[in-house]
Amino acid sequence: MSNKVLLEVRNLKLHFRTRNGPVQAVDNVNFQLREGHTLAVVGESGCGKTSLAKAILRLLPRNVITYSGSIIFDGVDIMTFDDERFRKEIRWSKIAMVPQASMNSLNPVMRIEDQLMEPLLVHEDISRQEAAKWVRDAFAVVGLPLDFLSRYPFELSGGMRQRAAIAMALASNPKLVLLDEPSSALDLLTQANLMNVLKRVKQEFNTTFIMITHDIGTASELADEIAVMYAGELVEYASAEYFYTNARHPYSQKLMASVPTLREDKELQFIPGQPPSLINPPMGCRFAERCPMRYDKCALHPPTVQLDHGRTVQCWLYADEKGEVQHA
Amino acid sequence: MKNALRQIKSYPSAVAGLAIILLLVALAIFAVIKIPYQEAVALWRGGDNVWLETPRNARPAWFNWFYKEKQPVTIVRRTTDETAEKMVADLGGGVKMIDTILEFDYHYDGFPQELAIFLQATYQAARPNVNFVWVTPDGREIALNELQVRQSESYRISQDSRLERRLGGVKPEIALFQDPKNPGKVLKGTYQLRAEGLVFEEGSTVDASLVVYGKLHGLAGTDHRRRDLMVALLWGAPVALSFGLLAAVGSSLTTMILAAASVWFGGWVDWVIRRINEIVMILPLLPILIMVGLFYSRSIWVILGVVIALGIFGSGILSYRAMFLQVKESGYIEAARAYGASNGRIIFRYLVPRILPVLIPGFVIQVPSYVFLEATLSVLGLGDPLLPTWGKLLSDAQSNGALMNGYFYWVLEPAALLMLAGLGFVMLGYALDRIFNPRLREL
Amino acid sequence: MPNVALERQPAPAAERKPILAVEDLHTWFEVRRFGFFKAGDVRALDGVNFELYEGEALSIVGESGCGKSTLAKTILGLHRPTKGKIYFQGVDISTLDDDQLRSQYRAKVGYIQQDPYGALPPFMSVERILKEPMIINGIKDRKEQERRIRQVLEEVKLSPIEDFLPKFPHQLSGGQQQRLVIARAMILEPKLLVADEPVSMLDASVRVEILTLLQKIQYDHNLAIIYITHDLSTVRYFSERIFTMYGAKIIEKAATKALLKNPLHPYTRALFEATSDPDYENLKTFKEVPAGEPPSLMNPPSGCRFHPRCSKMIKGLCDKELPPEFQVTEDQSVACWLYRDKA
Repeated sequence: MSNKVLLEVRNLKLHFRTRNGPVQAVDNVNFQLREGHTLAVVGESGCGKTSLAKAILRLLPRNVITYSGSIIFDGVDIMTFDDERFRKEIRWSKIAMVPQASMNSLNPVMRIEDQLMEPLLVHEDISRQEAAKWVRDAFAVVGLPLDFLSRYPFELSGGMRQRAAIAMALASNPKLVLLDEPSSALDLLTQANLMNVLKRVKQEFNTTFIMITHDIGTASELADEIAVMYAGELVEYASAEYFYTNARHPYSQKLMASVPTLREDKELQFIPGQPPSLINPPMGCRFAERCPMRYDKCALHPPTVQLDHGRTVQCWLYADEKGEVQHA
Repeated sequence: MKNALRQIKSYPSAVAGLAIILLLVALAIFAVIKIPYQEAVALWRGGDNVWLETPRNARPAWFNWFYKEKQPVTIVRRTTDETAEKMVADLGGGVKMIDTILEFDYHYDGFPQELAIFLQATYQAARPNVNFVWVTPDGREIALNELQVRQSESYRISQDSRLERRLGGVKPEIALFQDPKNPGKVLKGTYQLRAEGLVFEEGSTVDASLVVYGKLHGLAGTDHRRRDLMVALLWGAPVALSFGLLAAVGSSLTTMILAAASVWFGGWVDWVIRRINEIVMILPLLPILIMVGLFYSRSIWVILGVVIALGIFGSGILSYRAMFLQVKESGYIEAARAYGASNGRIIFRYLVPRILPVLIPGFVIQVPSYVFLEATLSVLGLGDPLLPTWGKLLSDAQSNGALMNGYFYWVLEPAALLMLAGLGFVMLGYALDRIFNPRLREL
Repeated sequence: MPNVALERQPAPAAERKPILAVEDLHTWFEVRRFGFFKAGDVRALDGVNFELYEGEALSIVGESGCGKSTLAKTILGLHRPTKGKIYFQGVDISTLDDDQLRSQYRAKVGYIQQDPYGALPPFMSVERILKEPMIINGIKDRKEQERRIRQVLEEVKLSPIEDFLPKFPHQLSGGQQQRLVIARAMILEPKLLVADEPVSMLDASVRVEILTLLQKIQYDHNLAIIYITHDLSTVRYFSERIFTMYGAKIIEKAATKALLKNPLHPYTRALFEATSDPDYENLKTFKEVPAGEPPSLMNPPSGCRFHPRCSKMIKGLCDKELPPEFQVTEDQSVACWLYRDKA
């Protein structure tokens, strides 16, 4: 873990067109990620977290209308790259992604070894033997026995396949790995195993992760920083310690209160209502409708306020105190 | 449903297709009302002087729009007409002389196709006598023939070879209308036929009709048996539509239900249905239909029945089965079992409705295949012998060398209607496919 | 409806009347190669015994392949038991045929599934979905149907009712869909509810809402409910008793409070260990996870099904013989040789 900022995202926007109107999937997201750290992007379904991952990796749908902002990766704004350069230099070689339920997206008619080598041969200028070696190393990192390399995906269990998919992402030694719900399709024990693997990878190789999940419990296993998304916006960003002990945004607080805990006796609360549609989101604070602490100012869009310890919150309750407006 | 209609409006091809189909349906309804089934069958069978006064192989009347030299349309004059001049002279002893003059104007550029006189007489024993004289506009009188008339007699002037020789070897229908100064050109003006009749008994009568056959007739022309093609064109619509729709709907629905049952019951039911399907898929449809037509019956209902019976177990059942296999595992089916739904209810109320919207475009598109199948069978000579259909027209046209003889309208008219039917259903079907299968839509 | 009642105690033994008693229940599925040759059986449920009392909430916890879903479906009559008995209100339903099941049993058990959208026929409106069970079970009177629909929709808080009746499933949110599933399960006034992972496909903030609703319904109607889940942390808020299942068998039965304080079976302990509470300290520790994979259901290991993965395995005993159920305390019993002296 170091202090060098590997990724800085500024004013990232992704809107796309549907039959019913433009969907504002990602709206003005800002955050920083240091090398070797893991950022967990948490939120519920439809909050835009998967779109955020795709926006960073430029895996855009066909019907994109707005895609703007800057993504400064290792000092360079990769938003300015044209598609071909992005594909060659960034995607997979520098930033890799493990998509949701990727254990089901392994090609059933290819051997694991061949599948894992394929992106390497495409993106890196290396020989087959070198690619095979990288793949074997990746397999060792995720803790899978090497003889599985010559097997077909159906011969492996779900958890093993998920690890194979992670190995595929790690094989090219990327600087940043995006994990989209890495464990939600897995059983409890397999999930725990997987988190162990990721922790080890993180410790041994200092890999930087962005983990997207709806499960704040699992997020706590890996995350150094937490970013909470709601209705396409980043409403809170804090280090894990501060987030789990004292979340600031009303949504984060309610979210924490609605998750049952095994070891702790607590009263559960739920959030009535539903998130707003991303097609015509409200002009003011998007959470105001369901927020127990809303007041008249919430009809205006709240600014993102910088708090202590590098935390940010997008909420009027804190803007009044600090009065500072960082990113509008 | 309302939603679907709204969406249909947004696809121009669907609107066009629907319009065509509605037009054909209107045509079909009109046909059935104007010419009821029995009458249609009778008309098409012909014979018995049904088509006496129509020309053979006549082109449609509106062709005259395009001709510089106007061709004639059939002219008929009867002695029973009010305009016919009649003179009766009683010669005593029951003998009467009845002179009738039948008059008509002829101003076409072309010569008539045929000439004939049809006679009807009533008498006890002595047959009446009629002498026919032809009077041209420029006053020439040409004796045609003298006949002893039976109860029903036809004198085909055009086939009278003696008359032809008398007229100098020129065919009567030309010679009688020819301008003597300008042979080859029609003498336009008022023509008369004088019928000088003699009856020998009290109460005997004799009546004649002169038919100057034209070369054009009606909206669609006529065929080799003088039948007005409009009858077949009109009646082809309800036949094609009902055959196509019944076959398509009947076989699709039944296939779907069979596939659902096969999937739901599994086990030996599934096994049996799949084996039947495999056998049926190997059987060739057309040759079987030909055999049925040749050795058993050509009735259109029998053919329809065989088509549906074979179609039910055809390849459709496999694709429906695949869809049902997916749906079978759905949660709501399990839930239905849990609250006690019977097998029948699950098949008809839970499985089939799930797939139905996907199948509607499918069978709309299938309709033209069945329409063409019926036409194919007719062309092969295996169509229903009674009904006038589009396929029958094509078949007749082909066996009578229509194209060789230049009667191209005989082929084009049914062909155009067949294509129109096909086009309408296919356009509607593909648009429906896009509506009911959202995956095919572009965003 | 804010707070959820915290742990509950089972009613005193004297008051208990079992509404459901399962004896030595086995559900095996045949595996055939090429449609003919029998290759073996998948022993999805291999010897399960328990009693469920009237008005009791029971949780069954386990991972995929442990048999919990098969148990639920066998109880619901969706699978035929291969061996063993199921007594419902004293009647052995495992021997009833389809028609008898329909007339005597199905209306008394409600089923709530995991996937709310899949559980609802997409081509039926809300009103129609609720009418179906009634039509099938002979409730044809219009007025009665309307009364029940109204009552049940009010209970699951899908109101205003007139707004919801003509809607179709795809027009409802996930939470609303699941409420509708619950409403449908309630419409025949059952005595037992079987809920198979009812909230695992819903968002975190909606889960509490639905669980609270289920709890309230259970209280109000004195229903027995079997709640199947893989998420241990929800169990404490819901049920009086917990069973843990592994390898098609029940390996531990306990009162919720007792289990949470002291899980006995090594597998249950492993489940505990593997559950992550939102706690930043998690970052610093590795979890202890038993090595290996869940056992094959076609060829289960000899002896205790968990022994290949168990760090406390007793050689010669655990790998040779299936442990019986040892009643360790009044509230807890466990099928594990480690407790053979404690019974």
